[in-house]
Amino acid sequence: MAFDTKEIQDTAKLAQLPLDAAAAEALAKDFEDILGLMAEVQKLDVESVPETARLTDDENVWREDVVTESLTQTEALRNGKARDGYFEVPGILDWDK
Amino acid sequence: MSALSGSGRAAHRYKKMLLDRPIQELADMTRKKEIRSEDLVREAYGAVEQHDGALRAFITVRPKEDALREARELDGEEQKRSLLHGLPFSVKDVYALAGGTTTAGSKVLEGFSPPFEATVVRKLRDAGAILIGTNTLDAWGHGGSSENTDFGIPRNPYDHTRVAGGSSGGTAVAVAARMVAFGVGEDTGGSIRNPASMCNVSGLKVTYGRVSRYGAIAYASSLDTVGPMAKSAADLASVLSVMAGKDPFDATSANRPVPDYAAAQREPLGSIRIGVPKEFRSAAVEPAVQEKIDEALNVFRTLGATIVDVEIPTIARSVPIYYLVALTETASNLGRYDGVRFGHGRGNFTKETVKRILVGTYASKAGYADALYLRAQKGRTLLRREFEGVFDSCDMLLGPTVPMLPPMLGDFVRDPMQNLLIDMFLGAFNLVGAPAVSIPAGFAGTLPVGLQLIGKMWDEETLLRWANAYQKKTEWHTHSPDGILTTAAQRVSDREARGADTAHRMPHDGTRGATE
Repeated sequence: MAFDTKEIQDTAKLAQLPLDAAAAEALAKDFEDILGLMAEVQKLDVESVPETARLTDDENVWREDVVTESLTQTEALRNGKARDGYFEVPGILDWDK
Repeated sequence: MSALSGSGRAAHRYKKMLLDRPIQELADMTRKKEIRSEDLVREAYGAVEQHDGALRAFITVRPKEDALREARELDGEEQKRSLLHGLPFSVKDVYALAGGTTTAGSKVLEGFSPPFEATVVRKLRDAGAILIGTNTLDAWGHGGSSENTDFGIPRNPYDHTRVAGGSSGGTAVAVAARMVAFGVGEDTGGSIRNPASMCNVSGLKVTYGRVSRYGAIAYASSLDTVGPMAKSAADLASVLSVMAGKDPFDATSANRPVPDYAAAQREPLGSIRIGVPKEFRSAAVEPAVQEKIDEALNVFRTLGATIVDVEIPTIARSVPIYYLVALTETASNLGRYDGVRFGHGRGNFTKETVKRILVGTYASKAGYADALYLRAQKGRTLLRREFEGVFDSCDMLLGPTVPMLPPMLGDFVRDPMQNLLIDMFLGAFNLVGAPAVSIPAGFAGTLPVGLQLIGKMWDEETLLRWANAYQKKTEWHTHSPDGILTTAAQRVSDREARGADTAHRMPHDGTRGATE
């Protein structure tokens, strides 16, 4: 499996990771090695074998709907970029374009 | 059992410190007022002050006066809260600490001050244990040598030019260098057992769901487990009794009674059939490691165990299965770090973590998921079936923890595939959810070798009882590194470490893996 930098950059875009062409190029060899190793799952005989996504058999673990103490607004905002009691988030609409 | 082969700095056994003693002994001494918690905390800080400049086990050390004040308060309590009353401990830096900081070893979370406390930390503190700091690690758990970090690479206390293992490397070093009485690691694919093996300490990967993960920063949610690291299996049992149990804040924590693991150590051994998977006798295992495993099997025979050969063929493909599952889950879990509610932007991940997120994203994206991620999940089912079946012919499994001696600093940075392959015998048991313990099995020259015992789901008691029986017959776990008495001249800088010479290699072409 060979990877061009564009394929790696496209994947980075999906993962919302900033990755310029030089950084993608530097990762290409490792990417190829790891996916080469992983491609070995092709050799597994898994015809009609179901998937395991989780290990517990629990379904919908409920608890009583009881009001308990939670974070104050100050505590919730303390680690974020906050302004006027709100989180400040990156804009998703750019009116200039 | 005392003669060590090889030359140079031989590890040796000594009881110079209170913290060399077992937890039960320390509990008896404090109960009889022969020692105070304050003495233990002073000793712990003394070891940190003396050795951590060279060993780098800690990211954050709590102010000494705060810990001493807590120790004096606990010394004043007539009723002891638990066996852990007044004992100093540390945690891998992935647990939310109210009033402290939690970084996961990454600049992304530099300065992050959690507004709540992880359940495991709260339980241990409520039981009277005294937190003295947080330990170095591979960022987000991403690695097997603790070199993938923004906050200091821990050194192997037995040889400062070698790695401590990972990802819970700093916690293993803190236990080995007697900076704490015990520690808390986290094991997603071997991250407790691997550094326990490399630093000559004992480390337990619990059954999935045995210990609450609330407040533990997630690596891969279907694999992550929270477990203790300590000097012996008996000490692991004492800590596990406090840590384990259902937590309303973690829906995956099991609603099952918690046995008294410490008391279970005193029950008679009886007989046992120990299975040795054929796949563990691999060409990738260094002869020096295999030799110690064979010696250990003889010790278990003298304890009354019957050794049987078994097969778990899919172990040979467990590395790709494990990484497809783990990296897909980590790509999802790390998606939350956007620098909005906490932490800093996504440009701050290390190269290794970027690579892992990218591979996980690639393996699960439309058009590729069927061939990669979903196929790995089917392989996981195969592995579970084989694993359950193996217990028809045995009660427990035994093998090496890691196939090689502790690598040189920098080896895994230069050859990242080695970083994945080091855990070839470990991730399989995270995929099935079973408990596994790594305990010291001797030394190759001056370097520690660990062995791994793997049990049935929920059967930590049997694992720890037999590990304890082994440790009563051997003394490897009582050795401590005389290298901790190092001088500044012996210190190796991170820059030098990354440029250090190379040593062993595991093949990662078509001949890789256990039984190919």
